Amino acid sequence: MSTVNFLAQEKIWFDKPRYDEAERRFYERMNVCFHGFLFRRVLHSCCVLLTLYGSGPVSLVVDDLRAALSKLECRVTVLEKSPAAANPASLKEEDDEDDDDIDLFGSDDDEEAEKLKEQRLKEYAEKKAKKPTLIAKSSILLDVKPWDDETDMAKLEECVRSVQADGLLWGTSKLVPVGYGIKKLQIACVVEDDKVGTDMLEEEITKFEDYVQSVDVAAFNKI
Amino acid sequence: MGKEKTHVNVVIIGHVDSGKSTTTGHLVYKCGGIDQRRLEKFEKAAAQMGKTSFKFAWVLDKLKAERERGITIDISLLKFNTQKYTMTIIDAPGHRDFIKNMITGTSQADVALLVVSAAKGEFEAGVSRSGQTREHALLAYTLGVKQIIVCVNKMDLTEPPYSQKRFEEVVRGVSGFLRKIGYDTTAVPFVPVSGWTGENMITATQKMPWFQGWKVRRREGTACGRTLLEVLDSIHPPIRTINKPLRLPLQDVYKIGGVGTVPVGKIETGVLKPGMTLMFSPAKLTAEVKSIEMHHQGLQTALPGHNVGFNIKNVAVKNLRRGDVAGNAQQDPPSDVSSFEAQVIILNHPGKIKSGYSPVLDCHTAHVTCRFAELKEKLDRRTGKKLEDNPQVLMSGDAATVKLVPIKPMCVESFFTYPPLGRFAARDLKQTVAVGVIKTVVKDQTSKPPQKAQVCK
Repeated sequence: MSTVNFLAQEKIWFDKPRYDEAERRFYERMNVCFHGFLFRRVLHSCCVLLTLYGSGPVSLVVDDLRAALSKLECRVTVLEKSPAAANPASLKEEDDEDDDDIDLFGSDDDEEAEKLKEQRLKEYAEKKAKKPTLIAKSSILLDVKPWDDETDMAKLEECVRSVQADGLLWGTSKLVPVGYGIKKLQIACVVEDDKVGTDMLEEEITKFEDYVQSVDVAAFNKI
Repeated sequence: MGKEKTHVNVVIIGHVDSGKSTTTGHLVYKCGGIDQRRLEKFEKAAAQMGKTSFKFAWVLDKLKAERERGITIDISLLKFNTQKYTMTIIDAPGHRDFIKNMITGTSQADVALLVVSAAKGEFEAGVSRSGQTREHALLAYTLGVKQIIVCVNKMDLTEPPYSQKRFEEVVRGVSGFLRKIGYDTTAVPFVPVSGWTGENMITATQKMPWFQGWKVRRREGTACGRTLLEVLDSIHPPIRTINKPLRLPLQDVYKIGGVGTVPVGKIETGVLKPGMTLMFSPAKLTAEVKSIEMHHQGLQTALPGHNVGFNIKNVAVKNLRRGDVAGNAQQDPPSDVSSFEAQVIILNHPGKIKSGYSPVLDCHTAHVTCRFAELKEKLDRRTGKKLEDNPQVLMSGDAATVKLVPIKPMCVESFFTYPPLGRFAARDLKQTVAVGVIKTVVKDQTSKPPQKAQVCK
């Protein structure tokens, strides 16, 4: 490992990031100018459309859209301005305005970092787009509790498994002793995050009220 | 087997691509968790496929495939050992119901492990507005997970690899928002790791000679080290609230022939012993504990964390229900509340919340509709400072102090005295619209004094 240490302390490569940085900046500036132009055109046409449909029953939606648009517009303005002499005061204002959305935080990074971030995000989005999107799934372990020690647990399990839904897959199960002869059914299932919720599971399972007293989530994990 | 190690729940949070699963997989793989027989089987298969160099990743994939089919039930897959602790991992899913589950669920997290990716673009995406990093961290803080560990992952993918500059940049970014949330960042360890290649996970790496180790200052003294495993070992053990008065929210109530009434629940604080006189709230009943059982075995003392069933005298099944709380009648017995004041954060409500809004609150095992009776103060969620008195409306992202009134009797406690009974999720429109912690409660004095249960089975 000492060879590695030696390399790490060597100064040959230390200048490389600086060149990379310079190159990146150059392209970044070109990008921003170009995209800014396109962006404006799109925004403009959207605005025209909005004014055309700006009244009537859809006006609420339109208002939202408009707000979103104006935000975008601000963003573009900032982006266009920043390569040139940036005006920190106005930028700060934009930033605050940005804060109004549902996000839980504001961001107070300075403009330089902001720009860098945009760039990296874009690259990330590109990379991401190439990757096949995975369906988010979770594994849930449910405890299904009977009414007493005489409840037919086999029948109970049958009921639970009869619950069907798109994106729901029942897994293995076992009976876990609780105490005083009572057993609970512990059953695993895999759900697609966007399709099946725990509320729905709970609701459907507790519908078998002759067998089921309650349902608890024992474990909930990402797959 | 030796002395049993303290058990700790670790919730893993972070953006989708931060490498959470790989990182946790590495820990589980190297430190216990996967049973030997299965491991050997997989390793042999991996060797046959010529995947020995990254066999761990391959094994993880196999395990994931198994989990996807739902054929593994035991959660031992998500357990590992450090010197001092047995840890169970909760790999936080992006599922919308997870938050509620984390609040009311059976496994409360003691520590949060925030995984952020240092890879180009990924860190930025993770902490961006749409990223999950901030939301998760905020939730962890709100829910009282005061210990957080940050591991800066994918150090092998920085440009250049193992870049100190990048690490520092990420640390700066993350400490910034952790501080805003409320964490004391001098007490937060940051470790540069690669969950994929294993740098700094279990053993200290040679690839980042610039990394002098993490060091944290806490009230209890300082701790330092180099690897993620050491960090995990250095956390404070969860405070077992064994010295507090008993609180036991009921999950179910059974009627067992020849035995009688058997309530079941998890002990949150205090101890439960046979012979103890219990007070149930809001049922307002007292009863004596005859015996206690856990996994069909008799217990003389049941401690916090134990899921127990107990037999009580002279109370009919119908007088008790899920959501009731049992406590020691002689020592700060539980009582239902007429109202309580809570600090809430509105998470995702599509419109405006005004006073009078009545969502369903999930708090411990109770499930009761509560009215936002008074919006007292709007707060800056970053600093906790007051922004506005008596705000007219609250919207997504707002934090506020509100007075809540349950529409039917309910027993809750302040977060400060009994944390598990003091946090809740508010549900409406099939989603979690708000989470909160209870600051103060007004105990119900008006109703009749507790009575001995007369009804027999």
